[in-house]
Amino acid sequence: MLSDGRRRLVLAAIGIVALVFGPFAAYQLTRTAERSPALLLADVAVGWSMIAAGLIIADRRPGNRIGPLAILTGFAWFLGDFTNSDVAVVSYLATVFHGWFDPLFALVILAYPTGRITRRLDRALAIGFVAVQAAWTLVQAYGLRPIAWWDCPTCISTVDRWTAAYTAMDPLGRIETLLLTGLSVGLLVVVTARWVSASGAARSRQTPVLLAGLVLGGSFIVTFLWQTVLPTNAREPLGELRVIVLALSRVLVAIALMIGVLRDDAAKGRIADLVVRLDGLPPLPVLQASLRDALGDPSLEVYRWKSESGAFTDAAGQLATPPADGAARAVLAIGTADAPELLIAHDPALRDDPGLVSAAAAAVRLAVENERLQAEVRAQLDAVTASRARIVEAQDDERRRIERDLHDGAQQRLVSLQLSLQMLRRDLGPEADPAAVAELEAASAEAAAAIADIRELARGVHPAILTESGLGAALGSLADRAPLPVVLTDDLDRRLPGSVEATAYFVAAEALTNAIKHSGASRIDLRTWLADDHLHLDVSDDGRGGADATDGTGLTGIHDRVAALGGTVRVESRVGEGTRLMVALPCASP
Amino acid sequence: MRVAVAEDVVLLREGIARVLRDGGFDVAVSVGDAEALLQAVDRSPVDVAIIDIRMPPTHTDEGLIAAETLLARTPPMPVVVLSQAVEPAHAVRLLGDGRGGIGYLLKERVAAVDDLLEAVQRVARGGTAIDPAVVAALVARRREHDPLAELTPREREVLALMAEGRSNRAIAATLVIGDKTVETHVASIFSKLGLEEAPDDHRRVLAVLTWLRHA
Repeated sequence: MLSDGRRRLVLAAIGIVALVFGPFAAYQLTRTAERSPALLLADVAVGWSMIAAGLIIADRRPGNRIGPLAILTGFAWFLGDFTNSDVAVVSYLATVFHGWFDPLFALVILAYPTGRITRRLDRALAIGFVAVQAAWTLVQAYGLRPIAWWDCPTCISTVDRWTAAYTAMDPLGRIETLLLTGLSVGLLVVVTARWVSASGAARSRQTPVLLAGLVLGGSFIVTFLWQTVLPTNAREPLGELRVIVLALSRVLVAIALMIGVLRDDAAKGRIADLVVRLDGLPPLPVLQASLRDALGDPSLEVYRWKSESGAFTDAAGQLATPPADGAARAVLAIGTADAPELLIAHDPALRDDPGLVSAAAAAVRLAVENERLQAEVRAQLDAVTASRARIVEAQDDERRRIERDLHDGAQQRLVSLQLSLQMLRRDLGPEADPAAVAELEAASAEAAAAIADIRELARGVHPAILTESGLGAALGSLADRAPLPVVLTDDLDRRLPGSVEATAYFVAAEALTNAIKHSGASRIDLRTWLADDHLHLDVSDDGRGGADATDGTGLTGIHDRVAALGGTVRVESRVGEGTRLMVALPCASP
Repeated sequence: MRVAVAEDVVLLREGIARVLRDGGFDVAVSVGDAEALLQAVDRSPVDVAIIDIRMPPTHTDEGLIAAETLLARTPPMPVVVLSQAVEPAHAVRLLGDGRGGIGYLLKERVAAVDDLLEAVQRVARGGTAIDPAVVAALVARRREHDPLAELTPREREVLALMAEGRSNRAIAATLVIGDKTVETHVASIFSKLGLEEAPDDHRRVLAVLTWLRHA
């Protein structure tokens, strides 16, 4: 295989040769007879169009044999112009080989569009064309010996010698024409049948071949009739017209064939569009429309597996039984082989172009996979978010439980104990042993201290007032206790979900602790209000600012807690301008 | 004097009842939750109800709500609320617009038998009793340009006793100073804090507590 650059160079060279060779060949025609410019133009146009089509195909589809075949066909065409050359050798070679134009053209048609001839009938036809032409070439090579250079190296070819040689071969020539005409009719039948049986995309793809077959077959039939049926005196006036009409149709066919082969480019472009469009998996009707468009198959159908119903649905969302893969429909499964997620049923004619279908399938597979991964990530994220919220809630519940246990258990018992001690003290009366009374007082004081300790411990774990009276009261209590002036503006008019209240409370407590410990503030403003289904909490101080969310546990802990409830935290802390913490916690109105 | 006790911990309820009986009260009602309390005092009215804030079923503020219900009756039934935590907000919430017959005590105060009896008696007579620990927490609160700093130590003592709900006479007895001296201190305190003299003792408590919380 040549590199791209090399191949282009070779193709360019062939193109230049063809550019020069075409007019030169046409010029040969004018040497023996008067020719109209239209005819000369038509002659050049046929050769050029075939060569040009071949060059373009060879450039864009390096692996496709149609390119070289078409180039050869074009040059074979020009060869015909040299049959009347007055140089014997040229005339001889041209005459012997120029007949290859039609068989080569037939091969192009049979190999269309992939460059391969695979069907048995097609192969038979191809072999027939080549065999007949090869045989005729040999016959001509032998029969035209009288004008060949080795018989008369110095001879100038003359009409007389030609006529004599041709007349001798005439019976064989008629057989050759008959055989090629028969093969052309066969070709015509094959392409017509293929076109009729194809539908939609495949049919439009087969159209250039039908045209080509009609032209080739038609040209043979016309020539056959020309030579066998038409009276000799009628041939001459119609001759030029026949040549021009045939030539023009051949030009059209060359162009159509080239477009047909290159259609893949447009198709590939549509596949690329498809990939872009299938960023996520679109709804089934959209997917189906996109695939129909990309593959040019309006009969294409998409089915999706619905695990809920255990069946496939079609694009309309109806339960449907997809066709089986076979002669009637081609079915492509996306997903695992035994459990496909999507089925694409398409025109079996598209099997001729496996690359296109597999590219489209790859795009869909990518979209399906993408969709699946996205859904998975979403589900995981949802699960993580939910579990994080649950962890925070569980933590709050646990703290509440511990606080309640402290209050209702240990603290109550200690109060009871202290009460008992006091009653004991009373029962002992005024004349009790002073040492015993002192012991009793000491025990009572110890109990009182333990009660106070437990009270503070319980408050730290979870302030009772938060459960009892809500966030506003709890923040007020926080402000009451702060060693700095804390100005609370509480605009809450209702109780909020426990986790929201607890989070806001602990965030406020943490922010106050930070401000008191690190900011050097002389005053802290604490503000809460409800807006847009969010609880807002603002804690601002007049300290030195410059707080860094990354340096310690304080702000990080606040971030984590708030994020667990899906809330947001913003910190403004420019050096010298104090610190402002803004928290918003989602909390839908009741 | 007839008393109702609402406290869910049996041991403590019995202890409180005993202290009250020993102190000469008639414990007419002794129940374990707010619902039972309200029903019982409907059937058998009492002069004062002693109510634990946290009681079944939710263990949050059942007692506080029951207390407010009793205070809203005509005539209001005096209540002493027992709290497990020092929460001035609760005290202020109970004091409402300055009504009397209200006590807010820490639960452990029941062990200070004399203080408890004195407070219950004061509240039953329409007075006010705020736990010294609550008042102490409020006085200790930090303020910008704290006007409390301008008070003399004696004035601070008087302020705290006022906040607890004591009358001028009680303050005079506690500090062992003359009634007139107390009046002078009170006038001086009100002037320094920028407060207007309140017409009665419990309004005075509310004014002082509110000032302490918000100044």
